[in-house]
Amino acid sequence: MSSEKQGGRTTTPKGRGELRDQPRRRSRRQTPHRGTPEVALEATELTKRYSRKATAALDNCSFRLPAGRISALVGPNGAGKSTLLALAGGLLRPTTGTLNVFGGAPGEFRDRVAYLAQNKPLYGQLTIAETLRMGAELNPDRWDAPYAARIIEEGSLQPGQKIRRLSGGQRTRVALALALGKRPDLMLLDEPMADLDPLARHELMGTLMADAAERGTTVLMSSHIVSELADACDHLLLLGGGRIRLGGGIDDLLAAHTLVTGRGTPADLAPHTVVEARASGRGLTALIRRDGPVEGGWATEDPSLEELLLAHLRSPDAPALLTPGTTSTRTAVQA
Amino acid sequence: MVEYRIDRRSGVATYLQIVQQTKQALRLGLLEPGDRLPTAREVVEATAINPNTVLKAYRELEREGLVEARRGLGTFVRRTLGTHPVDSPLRAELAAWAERARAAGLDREDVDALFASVLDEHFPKDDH
Amino acid sequence: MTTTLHTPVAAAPRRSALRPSGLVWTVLRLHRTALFVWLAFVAFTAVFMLWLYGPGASAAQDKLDAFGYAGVLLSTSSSHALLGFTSGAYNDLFYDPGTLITLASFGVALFAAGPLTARELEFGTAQLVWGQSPSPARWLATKLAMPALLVTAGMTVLTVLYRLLWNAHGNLLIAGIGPRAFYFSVGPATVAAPLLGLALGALAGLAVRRTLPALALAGFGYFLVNAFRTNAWPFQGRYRQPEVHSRSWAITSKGTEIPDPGCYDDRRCLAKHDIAHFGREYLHSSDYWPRQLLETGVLLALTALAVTAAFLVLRRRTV
Repeated sequence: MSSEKQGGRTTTPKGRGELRDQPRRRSRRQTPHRGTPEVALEATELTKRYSRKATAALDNCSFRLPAGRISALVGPNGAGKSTLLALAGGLLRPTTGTLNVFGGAPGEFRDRVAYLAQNKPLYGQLTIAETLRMGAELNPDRWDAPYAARIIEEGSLQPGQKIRRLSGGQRTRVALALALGKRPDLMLLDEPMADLDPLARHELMGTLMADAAERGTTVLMSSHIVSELADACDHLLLLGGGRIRLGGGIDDLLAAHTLVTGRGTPADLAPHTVVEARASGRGLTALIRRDGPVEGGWATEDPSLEELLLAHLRSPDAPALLTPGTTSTRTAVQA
Repeated sequence: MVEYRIDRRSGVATYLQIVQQTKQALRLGLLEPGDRLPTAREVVEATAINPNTVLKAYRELEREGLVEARRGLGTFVRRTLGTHPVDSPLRAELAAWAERARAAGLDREDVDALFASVLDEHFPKDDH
Repeated sequence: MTTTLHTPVAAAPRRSALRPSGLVWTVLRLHRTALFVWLAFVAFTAVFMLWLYGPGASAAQDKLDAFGYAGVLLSTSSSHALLGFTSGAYNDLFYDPGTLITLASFGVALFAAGPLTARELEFGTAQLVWGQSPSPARWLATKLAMPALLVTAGMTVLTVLYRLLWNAHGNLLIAGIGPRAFYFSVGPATVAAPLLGLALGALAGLAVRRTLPALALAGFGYFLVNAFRTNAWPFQGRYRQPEVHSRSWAITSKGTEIPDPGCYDDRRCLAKHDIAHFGREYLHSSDYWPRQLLETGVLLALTALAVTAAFLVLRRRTV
């Protein structure tokens, strides 16, 4: 209810016009308007080192995430996914570089951002009802109690249950209710679905998508299981070794690459960028980033998202690609 | 109200699955002109797919003139597909043919293959 | 089921001026057990002191009137002490609230290091709160302010009570190191010391971020504070234990004041001197306030330093 009170401009994210036909329409809070379209997250030469001697968890990352996108944050274990999310949530301080959230410092619009940590921390001594009460107390201007209660109810949880008696998946549901209940404009979710059963995963992802459809919420969620996110996300950030390897709309990224098979050597594929080439019989199969049409006797195929990601992860030296609009304005195009 | 089933293993792009299922519903008379399609919110809540995918599918249907979006109201069916409803004479002819095929000793897979080859001959695929 | 869930949640925004809300509610609810333990400690110690003030003191006074200070002293070191309540037992019990207060101060330091900070950082629940609307700085401020308020209130009550108890019945104590140490240690510094414990504990918790090491560090830190407090501050110099002057007398049945004849528990001797009462008063030492205020000042300054350091440690890691 509380969010109904918020006045201000209704920001309609691009392409979501038809979604505004909902009876429970919600207006988004007026935000400082700095450039169009609004940028949810912008990193400029962002580096995070946990100690002086350690290798950087994030190494000179520059990218931007336009508002209204549902972005997958993908990468192997230790790639820096959790670090990036914690930095965006204002829970860590960058070593160097800057990270802007809605054009301000990460701590500046804390009420508009929800963060869900990987281990789903909750207070074991509280009941579910008390946990939601805490959400209401900590977000007095934004809390949507009926909405949070509905998410709990859908999981057949009793409000009087103590958190410490819940299973891992049930805890995740409560943590998501707490994150969604504040009706954030940006959701940072670290492995949100990891310990959910398939039904709960489907339900909660549906709830998340419905929230995004209704309110244009920007979502950045990490996972190392690509298939989990392929249908839900329209944007991708691939992290590897603390660096951004790929960034952009999933369709754009897929369209920029081609899978070629044929007899020849990687050198024959110039001027295209060869991301990965592997021997295949007498010839080779390669994932290339096209520069113009593919000529010669190559058989071409569109790569799947999984093929695209695996090829980049197997070839750490392949140059990074950030599609236009996801490049930080303050740095060069190629990270 | 139609319900979309998204098959992640089918290899068909998700938005195309929505387009095809909507057309199927139009062909089978499950949807008629004036009916409202589910909102993107309703679809994504049930299917857990990206809202833009639904919008892309609806835009495609709109482009083909099958539906129209009315601002603030929803997306509505404009016309139906297939001039031959379920009980048309063509269907009766096909049913009679299937009867004969069975009498001739063909099993389901044989009929499937035969039907597919005739279909390909007369309705060449122009898209993939 | 739905209504039971909705009612408490929906009721939250409508709050009266007196009901805690927001972060204050959260902090009070999360540390409810600690709050109850603290209130129970304050209540128990206060009741204990009231007992020492009333029934305990009158029993001890009877004993004193019968045998005098010398007799009481003798009775503590003999089997008489086991026979019912004696003034010697009163002498022991008198200092117990002080022991409780010292233990509670340790408890405050350990609480601040463990449940208040390190455990929250270790399990990520602090990040849960920062992921809602409050900033880490506001979180820490509330986390420090709430216990500080309760500790100050509770300790002030106990210190005032203790001082009143001393003024009324200090004369019942066996003279020696006990009354002297008591006289100079109970005062504003008694309130300031646990506040320093709170700040040191929070600093340890934020710096170490793991519960057990933080508890050990805070325990050791507060042990040092406590060791200095027991008359070992460097600034106390040679005068670590100034004398508290006292005056003792006996009163005959006719009301004349005579010096304590030193009869111990010899009834014939007491009868010979015709003694009805004994009396003693501790004279005020001009050292008291300078020492108390200086110590309180040092403790509060250290507290301020520790709090500042705690905020800096937090700021170094978060935004």
